[in-house]
Amino acid sequence: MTALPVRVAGLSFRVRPRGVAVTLAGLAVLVLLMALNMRLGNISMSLGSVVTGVLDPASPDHFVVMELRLPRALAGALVGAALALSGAITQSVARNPLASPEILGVTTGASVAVVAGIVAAGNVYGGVSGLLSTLGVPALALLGGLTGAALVYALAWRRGLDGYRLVLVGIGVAAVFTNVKFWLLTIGDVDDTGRAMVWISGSLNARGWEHVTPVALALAVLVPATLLGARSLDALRFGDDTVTALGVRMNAARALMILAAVLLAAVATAAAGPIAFVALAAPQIALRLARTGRPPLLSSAVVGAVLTAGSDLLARTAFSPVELPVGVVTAVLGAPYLIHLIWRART
Amino acid sequence: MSATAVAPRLRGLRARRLSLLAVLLAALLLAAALSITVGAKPVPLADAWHALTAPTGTDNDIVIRSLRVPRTALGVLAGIALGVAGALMQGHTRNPLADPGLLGVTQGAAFAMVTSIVVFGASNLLGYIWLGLAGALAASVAVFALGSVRGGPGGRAAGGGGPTPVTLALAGTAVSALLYALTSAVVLLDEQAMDVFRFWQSGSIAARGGAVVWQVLPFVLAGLALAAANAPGLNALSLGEDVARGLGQNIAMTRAVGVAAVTLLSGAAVAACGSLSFVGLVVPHLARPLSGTDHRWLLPYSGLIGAALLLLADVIGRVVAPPGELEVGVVLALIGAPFFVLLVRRRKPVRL
Amino acid sequence: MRLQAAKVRLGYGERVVVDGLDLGIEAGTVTAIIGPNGCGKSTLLRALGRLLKPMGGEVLLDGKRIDRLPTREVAKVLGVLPQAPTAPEGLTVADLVARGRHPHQTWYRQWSSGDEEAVAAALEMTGLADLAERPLDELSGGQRQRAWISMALAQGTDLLLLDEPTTFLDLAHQVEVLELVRHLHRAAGRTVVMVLHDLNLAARYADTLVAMRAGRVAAAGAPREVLTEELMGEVFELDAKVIEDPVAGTPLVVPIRPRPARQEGDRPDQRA
Repeated sequence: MTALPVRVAGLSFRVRPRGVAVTLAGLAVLVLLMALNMRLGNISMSLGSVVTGVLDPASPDHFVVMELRLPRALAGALVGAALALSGAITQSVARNPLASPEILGVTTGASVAVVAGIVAAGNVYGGVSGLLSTLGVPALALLGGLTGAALVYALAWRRGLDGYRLVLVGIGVAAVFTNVKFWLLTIGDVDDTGRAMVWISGSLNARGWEHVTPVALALAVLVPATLLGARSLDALRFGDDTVTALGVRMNAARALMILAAVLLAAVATAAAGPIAFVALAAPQIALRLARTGRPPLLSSAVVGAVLTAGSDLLARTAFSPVELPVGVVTAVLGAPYLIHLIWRART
Repeated sequence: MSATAVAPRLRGLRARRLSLLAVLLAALLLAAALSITVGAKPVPLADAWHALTAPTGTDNDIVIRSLRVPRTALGVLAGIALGVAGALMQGHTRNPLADPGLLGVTQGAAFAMVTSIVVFGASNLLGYIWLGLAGALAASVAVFALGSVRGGPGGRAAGGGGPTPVTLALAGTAVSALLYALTSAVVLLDEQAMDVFRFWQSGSIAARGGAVVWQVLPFVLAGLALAAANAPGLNALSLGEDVARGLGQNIAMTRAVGVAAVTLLSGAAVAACGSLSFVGLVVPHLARPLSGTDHRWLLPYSGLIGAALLLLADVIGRVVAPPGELEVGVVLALIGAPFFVLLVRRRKPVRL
Repeated sequence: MRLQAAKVRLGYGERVVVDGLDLGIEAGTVTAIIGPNGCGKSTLLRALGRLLKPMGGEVLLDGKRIDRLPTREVAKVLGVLPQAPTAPEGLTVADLVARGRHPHQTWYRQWSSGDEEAVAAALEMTGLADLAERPLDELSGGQRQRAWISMALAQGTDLLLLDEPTTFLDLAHQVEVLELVRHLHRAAGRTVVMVLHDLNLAARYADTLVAMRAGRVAAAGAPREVLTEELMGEVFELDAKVIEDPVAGTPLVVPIRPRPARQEGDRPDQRA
């Protein structure tokens, strides 16, 4: 893949035309999906009424558009972008296409905390509702995710953060969390298990502005930060000796990029649960579309947003009035597409 | 130094490896003895021997023969199967993150089982196991077919060498994710399926009975035979595809035999015991520092360590939370993972 | 004729690297394939070693089409060492060399006394007996290369194809490896085909040089006939003086300067 140099007033960048094209095409699809997401639902409305619903507070559609559909659509896109970006960073640092925030302890840690909360509250306080579901679950998820990540980080750190050791430690910690989660699911009431399973699958059901804002803030800070750090990811793909020779302060670069991945995944998981497959598949899809050597960050994020927003559209409307958790659909959509790309690439 | 002086040293290396194998075998026997004697009703070793050799129908005899022996036998079978399958899988994919589940085996079994509950109202365990096994086989075949796609005339290597590690791993992950999603959808819509599924996925070897042991035995034996046949080829393959071809190894055949072995071994274990992915994932990492990179040694070491670990975890699960029991999958993770992490931290991990 | 390429067309995917090439390797000779980067040397070697299936033409081993022979039988007479092979971390020298016995082993005969002798002899011949239990990754570049050659020796083939066996080695180690090749040839009568970059070493250690350019054989024969000043210009685009090697009496290439590029507009500043 050739990179075109772009030089403006003393600044110079290298731009890969194919990567830019993938990103732009992805954004266009995303806009289309958002528009569809706003129009379709229990009541379908024309694009015109969506627009008036957004602009005119007095419009009868204002509530549905601004308080129900827009925040949910935004939450889907932003959460997907955050998960995919997190996955792209993790795969680059670990130099392993199978790596995902799961091995950073984030999603599994969050799952244990939330399942424990649901199971405990289910037995003691009679069901998860009200305060616990709107505030408690995201808080538990955030706490669990960050604790899990801190554990992996601390255990993997030994005079630096070696990508390979990180992966192995991550496997170990994830195994504990996953099995504890399985066990918690067996001790609870079967209704609680069901509720917990919905959350574990990842769901955007009834997500409002309070879920959108934290993810948007996190992306606003972390996207520019990770793009600045992207140069070091290119270097990290080589072995440690090469990296040091290329002058990247390896440990610092790796540690910071992983921290960003952890924060992105934690915030996204807190908002929507550990939506399956996005973090793993979106970077691999983007990599194949853009034909780059490592997952391209921006394109991965856009692909993640498209995958999640598209899946939520299906999850919401396909079996109406029954809504599936979005995480069930991401894999159903993403897996065949990824397989198709592997097939086509003929590597 | 003459050639005659080198040969004894090579033999010495073999002797060391053989004696280590004997140690691991002893550890497994010890674990099996514990598994037969320890539990809610402790049985002295002498009584256990009595029950095994000359049963007279005492309470102890019944506990031992109808509960503990099948449970122990299943633990041994599943442990060996998963340990060997994990080592094969990591060898073929050259990826430390690879576990037998990567072929779609675990999720294939899960999906087949929950579907059969919903569609046929299947309720007995033996029925689940056949279906689980069928699901595991089908998923694995699909993954292998998808992962084998390699470039027809445009391929990098001549004559198509079967799947590359990366495409195999990615295809497996994609198919697993798809099946998991479908399983989730089914259990979210059907409470009875959810109830069976949640106990299955936590992994257990308890209360399966002797029939299940006989049911999975042929698959495990066939899988082990294929694994043994696969070991030399995998050794050649670990030197790179060109060297392996130069040594006269048929790459596509080696990959296919390996996948068949992994499918039989882990399919049988997973269908009978639920997802015990930790064994397949972690045990090879424990075995590799002892055995070195030779798969003819790594596979038996992994099998023995897997079985011993599984039995010990099961025994601990029986005594740790009386009067109840903890599922072996949970205990395995709780005990095995810290040990594993310690090992990873202490020494330089052996890369694949 | 032990090994023969007849009108082979070789390439990867759509890209054809070698087209219509003929080459014969006589029994008991050492042949070095030389040529500029990207001329198809390694591709040709891979095809001779049946690692790459020709898109056209055929490769014959002892007069039989190599792709129709069982690959395991081929491995008993022909050993191939690819360029810069990699081994799993922690693999010991003895284990690596033992894997050379692979084609001779079956599931019921995993480690015969013949295997043991062959491995011991291969370690001995390459001077690695004392390093047998050391992991490969702890060895120096020269030792590591000798270990790989040792593996190929343990294979016990009398035909040996080596792809740049001296890459990444310093001059002393290059000579060491090539002395080993010569020893194999003289002591055991093995037939060796290797791709080499260093022309002077190739001239010194090979009976036959095959000079390739752009997928074709530009010249083949004894070093003295092949390594001429005209050929250096034609094949390597190099103005050079060829003198006699004061030590071995073989041709010695002393480079003068690269020939100016042929294409119009290519590096125009040099033409001024």
